[in-house]
Amino acid sequence: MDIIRLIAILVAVAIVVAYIVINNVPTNIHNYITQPISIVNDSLSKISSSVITPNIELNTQGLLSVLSSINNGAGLLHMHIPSAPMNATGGLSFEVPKLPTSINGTLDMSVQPYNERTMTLLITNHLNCTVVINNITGNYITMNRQYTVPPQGTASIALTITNAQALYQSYTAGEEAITMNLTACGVGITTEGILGKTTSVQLSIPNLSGGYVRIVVRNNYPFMVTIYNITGRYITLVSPVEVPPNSTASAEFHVWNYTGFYALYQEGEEVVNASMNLGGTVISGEFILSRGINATPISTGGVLRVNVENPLNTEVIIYELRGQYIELASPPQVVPPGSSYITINVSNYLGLYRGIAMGNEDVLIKLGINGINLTMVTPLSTTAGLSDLRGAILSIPVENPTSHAITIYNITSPILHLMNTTTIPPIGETVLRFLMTNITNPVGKNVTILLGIMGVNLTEEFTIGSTGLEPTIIEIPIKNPLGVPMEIINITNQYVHLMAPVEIPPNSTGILRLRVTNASALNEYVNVTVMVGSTMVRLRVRP
Amino acid sequence: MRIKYPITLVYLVLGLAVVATPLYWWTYDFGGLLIIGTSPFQFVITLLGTTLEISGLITAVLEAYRAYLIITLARNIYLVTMKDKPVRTYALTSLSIPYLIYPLIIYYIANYVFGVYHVPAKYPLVLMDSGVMGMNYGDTNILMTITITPHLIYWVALAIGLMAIPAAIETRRHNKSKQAIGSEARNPTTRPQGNI
Repeated sequence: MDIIRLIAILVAVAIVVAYIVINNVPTNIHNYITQPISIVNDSLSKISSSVITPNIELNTQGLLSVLSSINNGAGLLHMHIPSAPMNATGGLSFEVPKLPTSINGTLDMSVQPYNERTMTLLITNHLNCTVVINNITGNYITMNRQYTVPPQGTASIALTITNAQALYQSYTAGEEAITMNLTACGVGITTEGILGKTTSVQLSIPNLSGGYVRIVVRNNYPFMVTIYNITGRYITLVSPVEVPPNSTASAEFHVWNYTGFYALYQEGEEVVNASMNLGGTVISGEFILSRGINATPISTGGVLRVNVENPLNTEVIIYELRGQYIELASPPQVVPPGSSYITINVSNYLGLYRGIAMGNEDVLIKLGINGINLTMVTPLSTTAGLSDLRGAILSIPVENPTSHAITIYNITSPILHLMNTTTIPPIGETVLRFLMTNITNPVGKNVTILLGIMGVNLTEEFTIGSTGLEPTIIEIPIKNPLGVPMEIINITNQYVHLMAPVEIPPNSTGILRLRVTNASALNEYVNVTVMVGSTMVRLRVRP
Repeated sequence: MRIKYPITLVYLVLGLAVVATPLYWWTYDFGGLLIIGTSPFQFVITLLGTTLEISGLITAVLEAYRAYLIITLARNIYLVTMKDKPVRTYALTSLSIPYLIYPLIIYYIANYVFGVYHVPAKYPLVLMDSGVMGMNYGDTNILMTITITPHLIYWVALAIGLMAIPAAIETRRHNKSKQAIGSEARNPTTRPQGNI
């Protein structure tokens, strides 16, 4: 062994020792062994999440109901604004019955022997006019029919007992309160008393507080008038009444105070709030009730009832309807499929009808259909159909179920264009706003969506089908998590085909471009051919 | 100055050059997924694009061997040129020739391991160039291209390694002629040295 060889051996040993010391091999030796396994496991776990489908969930059902209405030319809503009764003259006159100025007398009641089911009341009328007993109710008694008591005459009234034991206790304690509804000498009277062995009811006008009275209403207009309500200081209309053109109807009023009412009525000072439908135009306001009401609809504002026809098979919500002279009353209003009506507040009928006649009453309409909002400005006419939706703005909610933000740069189609670039946050939602540019039949037309996800820009192409958007060419980003190049050679099944092989350098992202001939195929097994490094892998996977 | 053993000198100088050249002799590429670069003096193993840390440790050992060889070859060149001593060394020969057999060894080992672990594949006999190994797991079909490539530096190393034969003949002839001339030939210092 010569000295040189010894030196050579020492140098060699020194190199190995230096490496071991510098790289701290004893502590890292475990890593050296486990590294290949961790590389393989890491790659396998990353590769399973390497494909991110840029899935966005559009409300296609709502979109299609809007689009289909355009398709069949039916439009969205048809509104029929009642034609202006501009030349109508006439009025309403109220024929208030002439009532006796004074009634004075009593009505005596005496309880006859009673059993568990019925009680008989003997009524004696001390007045010089007929008294009609409309109703008597107590806590435990009811009356079944009307009885008429002739002037200075008597009548036996049968009352049904609902609870004999309770009635007996209440009656003997003098606590059975009863309410009587009478018409005495044509005056409706409601009075209360306690049922006793004999009870005397004092009936007198003008001391009577109030009651019901029937007033004949004459309609001098050439159209149907419906009175919804009349409320004055002393009277209220009990229920709505319809009065045919140039005809009369009997309206039942509740009069709180006859004396007060007559005094005001005679002097023409009974101011009432009334709402009524005059030939399709609902007006409401203050009127003076004297010999009549002269309610000319054109001179005032009010509530207009507009008949609408909804040709869709889904309800339409009207959020807003606003013009120079009109505004939707109590928004939102729901329009069910078929015929119905909406009510709008009119500030000035004259202005409204003049605007319609001149064609310059533009209204802003905001509708909701299956979650899609549609905003548009359209000129109002007497039969306004929203068939020309050109220029309408559609607001469509969109959801992003992926865990990556998706930016939608543009959506173009022959009928809709995205108005502004919109970013949907991960697992979030937002609203896309579209401008409707054309109203041709959308079925069969193409829709192109430009979007960005994970820094990759994608172009998705769809065809508008009768049931929804059908993908035709979809782009999907795919990450290559491996340190070796990857080439997606083919992805195919009966309806999906990769359009061109995609080479993805190590640790970067590529874009798969797939042609889809049947959307259902996206959930089917696909045959995938991938070249990883120089290893060809063919497999069947399900997305 | 006249060189007594020119062939031996050329053999030693070229051998030193080959040993000092930091190139891989052969590359074993298993489907692009596992790539091994190897020479007797350096080694690298890359799995899915990542160089395994163990290759550094192995390379350190091989580099140590390279340093040892460079020092001893330099010593031999010094002996041949300055001292006119005949030197015989078969290091490069014994390192380069087995590379021709390694693919065959891998072939047998791979198929033995596959058999033991019931891997449904057959390792192809690839001595040089490429072969394809097919595997089937259910619906998954894998075709792995195995490429075994000797590089130019290997053929140079093999050629220089084979020069050991004329070099040995040269030193032996000189020894014989010296024996025929006189007693000087028996001088122990003229014996071939440097068996490594």
